[in-house]
Amino acid sequence: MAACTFNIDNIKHVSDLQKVTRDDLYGSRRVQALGPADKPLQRAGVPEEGDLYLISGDIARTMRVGEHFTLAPVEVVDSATGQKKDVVPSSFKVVPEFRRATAEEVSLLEVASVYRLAGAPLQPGAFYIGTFNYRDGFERNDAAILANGHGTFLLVGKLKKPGYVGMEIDSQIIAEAAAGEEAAEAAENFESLF
Amino acid sequence: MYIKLTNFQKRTAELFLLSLNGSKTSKRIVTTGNGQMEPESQAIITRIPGGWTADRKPEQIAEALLKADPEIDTQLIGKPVRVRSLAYLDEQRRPVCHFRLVEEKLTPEGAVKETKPYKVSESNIELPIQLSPKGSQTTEDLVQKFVLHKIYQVIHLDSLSFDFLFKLCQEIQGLGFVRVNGGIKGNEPLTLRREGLPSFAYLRGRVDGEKYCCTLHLTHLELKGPSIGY
Repeated sequence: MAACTFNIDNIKHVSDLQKVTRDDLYGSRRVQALGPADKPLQRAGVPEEGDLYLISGDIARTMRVGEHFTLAPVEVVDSATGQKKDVVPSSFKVVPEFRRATAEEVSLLEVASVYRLAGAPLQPGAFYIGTFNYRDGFERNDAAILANGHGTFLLVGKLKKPGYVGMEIDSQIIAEAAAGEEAAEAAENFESLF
Repeated sequence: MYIKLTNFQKRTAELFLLSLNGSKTSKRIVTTGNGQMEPESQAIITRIPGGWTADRKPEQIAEALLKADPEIDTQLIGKPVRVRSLAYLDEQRRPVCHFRLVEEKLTPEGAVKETKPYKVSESNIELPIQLSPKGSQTTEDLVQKFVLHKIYQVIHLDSLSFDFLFKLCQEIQGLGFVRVNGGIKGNEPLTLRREGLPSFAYLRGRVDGEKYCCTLHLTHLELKGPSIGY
């Protein structure tokens, strides 16, 4: 994998990115269908008409606008304002900045990808937060860099912001009003039941 | 999704797991004669199912190409399609009715370690999930040891569950990340969905005035590098 430069707490580090996955650590699993004589079978999709068996490579995805297919160029705009969105460049092109952070901040990062940074030896116990985009894109990804006894790691994902939750009192206001005089009258008015 | 959580006093409340995924900030548009529109993705057939060259010898392929355009089927290519069900085909591309599913476990090097009949993993959160007195982690330890792949906010459903959760958060505030387990014995990792991967789960509770913040952090990966190739 290509080398990337990181600016970690104003110090430049250059490191290769070695992706770490569950399969690399623990192995993987696959489900296979076996037919008569234990011969492996091929998976196929059946369309709603039920007249075809479609295997991998038979289908591709295209763009449709209304009833028509289109090859028109696609623009990416802000959902709220409709303004054209700027491309967030790959972190291989623009050096990502990381600032010192707390473990608390890092614990709110929902991680999608993990990379080992062999060329950036950091002290275990130090945490850094920044952004990292492997490729050009339109959404900025959050990232954290931290070290432990196994090396230095880059975690890429999205920082979550859980809020504090209180007890809504709306239901109690309604309950209080209902418990007033009107409620007492209504309880005795059997005619209102018909 | 709903969960039932049992606290240290063995009392259980029904709560809700709220995914913290924000809405997308961008959308794709194309400019058409009717103005700007959002395109939809559509699956189409791109080749004669299985490929027209399948089971043909090279000389048969050459002969077919000389005679006509066998790779073009105007009735089929480009046809919108919606896959509704699944079938298994043999070598002759015929559907097979009698088959069995097996699950193969592979080592990190790709060798088959174990083969067993495939069994769907069922969700285990219909039973109450329980706080474990063991396995709590400080924030520093948790982020240095594990990769947190999913974070949910745990919220109340009514005033009773508010009281339950508020008290629980007060109780575990100083304990860091408290391990929670599923299953009848309360010693299994959580499987939130059918066919989902089991994950170790940690609950974090904080209180601010009369409000609480309770989060459930899931992990199925340790923060370490593979032992081979480095």
